[in-house]
Amino acid sequence: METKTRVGVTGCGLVCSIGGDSETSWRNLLDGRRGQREIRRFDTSRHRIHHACPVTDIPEPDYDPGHPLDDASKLLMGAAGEALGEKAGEFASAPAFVATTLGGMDSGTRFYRSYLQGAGADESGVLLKDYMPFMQSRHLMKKFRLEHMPLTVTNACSSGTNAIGLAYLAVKSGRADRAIAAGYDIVSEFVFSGFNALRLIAPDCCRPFDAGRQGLVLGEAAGVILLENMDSAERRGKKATAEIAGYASGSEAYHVTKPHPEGEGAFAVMNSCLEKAGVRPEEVECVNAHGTGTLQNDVMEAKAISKLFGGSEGITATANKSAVGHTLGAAGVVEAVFSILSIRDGVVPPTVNTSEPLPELESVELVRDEARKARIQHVLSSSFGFGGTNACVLFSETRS
Amino acid sequence: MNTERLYIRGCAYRGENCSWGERFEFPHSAPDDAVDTPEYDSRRMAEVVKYAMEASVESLSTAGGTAAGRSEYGIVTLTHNGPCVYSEDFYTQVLREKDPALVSPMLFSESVLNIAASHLSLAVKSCGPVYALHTDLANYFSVLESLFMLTETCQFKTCIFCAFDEFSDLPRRVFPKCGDYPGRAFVTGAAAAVVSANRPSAESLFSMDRPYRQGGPEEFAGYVDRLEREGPVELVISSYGSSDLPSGVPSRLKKADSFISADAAGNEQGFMVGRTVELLGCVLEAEKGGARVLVQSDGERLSWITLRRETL
Repeated sequence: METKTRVGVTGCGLVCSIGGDSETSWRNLLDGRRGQREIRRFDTSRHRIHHACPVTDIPEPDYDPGHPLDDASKLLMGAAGEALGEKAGEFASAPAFVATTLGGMDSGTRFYRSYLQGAGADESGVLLKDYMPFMQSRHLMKKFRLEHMPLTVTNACSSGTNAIGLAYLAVKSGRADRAIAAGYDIVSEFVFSGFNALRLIAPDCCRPFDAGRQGLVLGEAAGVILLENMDSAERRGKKATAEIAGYASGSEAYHVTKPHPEGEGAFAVMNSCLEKAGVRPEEVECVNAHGTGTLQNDVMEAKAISKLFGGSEGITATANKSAVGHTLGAAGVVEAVFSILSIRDGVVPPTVNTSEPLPELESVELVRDEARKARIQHVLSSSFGFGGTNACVLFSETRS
Repeated sequence: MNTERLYIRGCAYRGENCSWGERFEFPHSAPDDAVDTPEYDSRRMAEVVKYAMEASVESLSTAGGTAAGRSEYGIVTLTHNGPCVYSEDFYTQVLREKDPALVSPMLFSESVLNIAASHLSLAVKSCGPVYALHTDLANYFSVLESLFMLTETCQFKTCIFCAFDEFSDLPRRVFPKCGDYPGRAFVTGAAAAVVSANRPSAESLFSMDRPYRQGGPEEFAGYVDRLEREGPVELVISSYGSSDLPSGVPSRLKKADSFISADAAGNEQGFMVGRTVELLGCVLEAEKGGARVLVQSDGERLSWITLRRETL
């Protein structure tokens, strides 16, 4: 399919460990703030690690489903409230794609713990109501009076970028004038234990692409972006903050948990994204990397980036997970919001905690410690998920 | 150009404790090309993921095709509960262990909702897009709608579509207390098919039209009238929502057959597997040259999809 439909971003919302809205989070990201702190959501005394990047002020949306709302839903609605605001009615018929890896698993783990301890049926029932991943989408639909139930995308760490991709395709194909892409995840004891058992959590902090990196730090967040057919938006007097120029998704077919060590799958999807956008690598000013801080991801991603951008000059990279942690299903949308604001403000946010970048990242400059002012026309945002599911989106300055 | 019809080949079901395998005979048609059967190691897989793999591999085998051709296939999986037995086992061990980091990570990594898609892409050596989707039972057709969107936007021309869900004793005991889940039965299994925008050259063609989502009874009646001008039409009400029809529904719809063998109390089974078996069953049992319209209700509005069986 080749259409001339241009897809623009006309709104965004974000709740994460460094801010309760997109502008606050963005300012704190530029200032080098970190969201890492001790976990309070559950008892970590038996665990070897005690930190994550949790959201400290969970929003309280004006919405009553008839039972206490779970935190995952609250996060999602907080971000959606910022994005949709007074525009909610305009997006009532828009298709929505919501990314998550575990939905309301925090409720699920609390339910299961209380169930094993012989708690009463009422409590178990309340906790169980919101644990299924589609429940947060259902609350989103009801709160904002969406006509259609959002479709939930559960592609592990690339869920968010794939949700954006599906929303982009819905508008690009002409099937819809507007679409919503969202992503959210909460740090539950279940997922924390899982990543701990896999030995993927850093004992100190997240150091993307650092020679001394020791793993990732989990984070909580919810992000929402609104996509619209730019021509029809402009006719109504609305201006997009940025444009989605391309999207690519693919599978590595290498290993169920480990990425290809040479970054072949990552390279393929990044290259495909640029090809679809009709943008050459040397035209990209910034790469918003997946950059988890794990031993395997960062070296393979560095190789893929260098292979794609080798020979190009002046290309910068940033890795937001150093500040906000790995927010799993939310990550792609969180990083999308930061990519869009990079274009808007002409600034590359810093990667914090990294002091000795990998030599494999030689072809791009990892912006560290301080934000860098620059004219940014294109940001390539990548996500590489568990099981080899990879996705990329190219955000671009809007063209008149 | 909008894709309005997708073709279905190689329908397959693998599962236990249910009568669908007895009710349907998914045909094993002669493959068009030499068949390279995908291989995989199932030792670490959850039971339900094994079924997903078996159903998908059987689907590919009967649909035909070579390994090289499949490298561009997309993969779309759908589940309601995921590998929940592994999830429960993992977290039970976490709660019991003095040091939770010593719990086998395999239970965690093999319980993520996209694990079946990952194993499948590895076995098939597909580098195409992979989508692990999830929604509630009332919106099954939105997943089918996504297949149409993904083919018409050239994400892929052909994909393996696999739905899987499993029986877990825990939700069976607890869900009835939540009010929203009155005594449903649960089944472990998977249903798969190869779905393509490319029209096959086989003698029989099974296809589905783009689903119509959420209309009123009058709209539905008008649609059926238009369809009947082309040929015979049978109406089938999905067992999900069959007791929840909006007022004004044509009486003919109420008399439609149901494919899912419910338990003695009339409760539906199987979550996303159940919905997919209904879909494939409608396709397979459609009258030759005719159409079956599968209808789902959420109590206020109807959704429907037309399934056809054509012969060349």
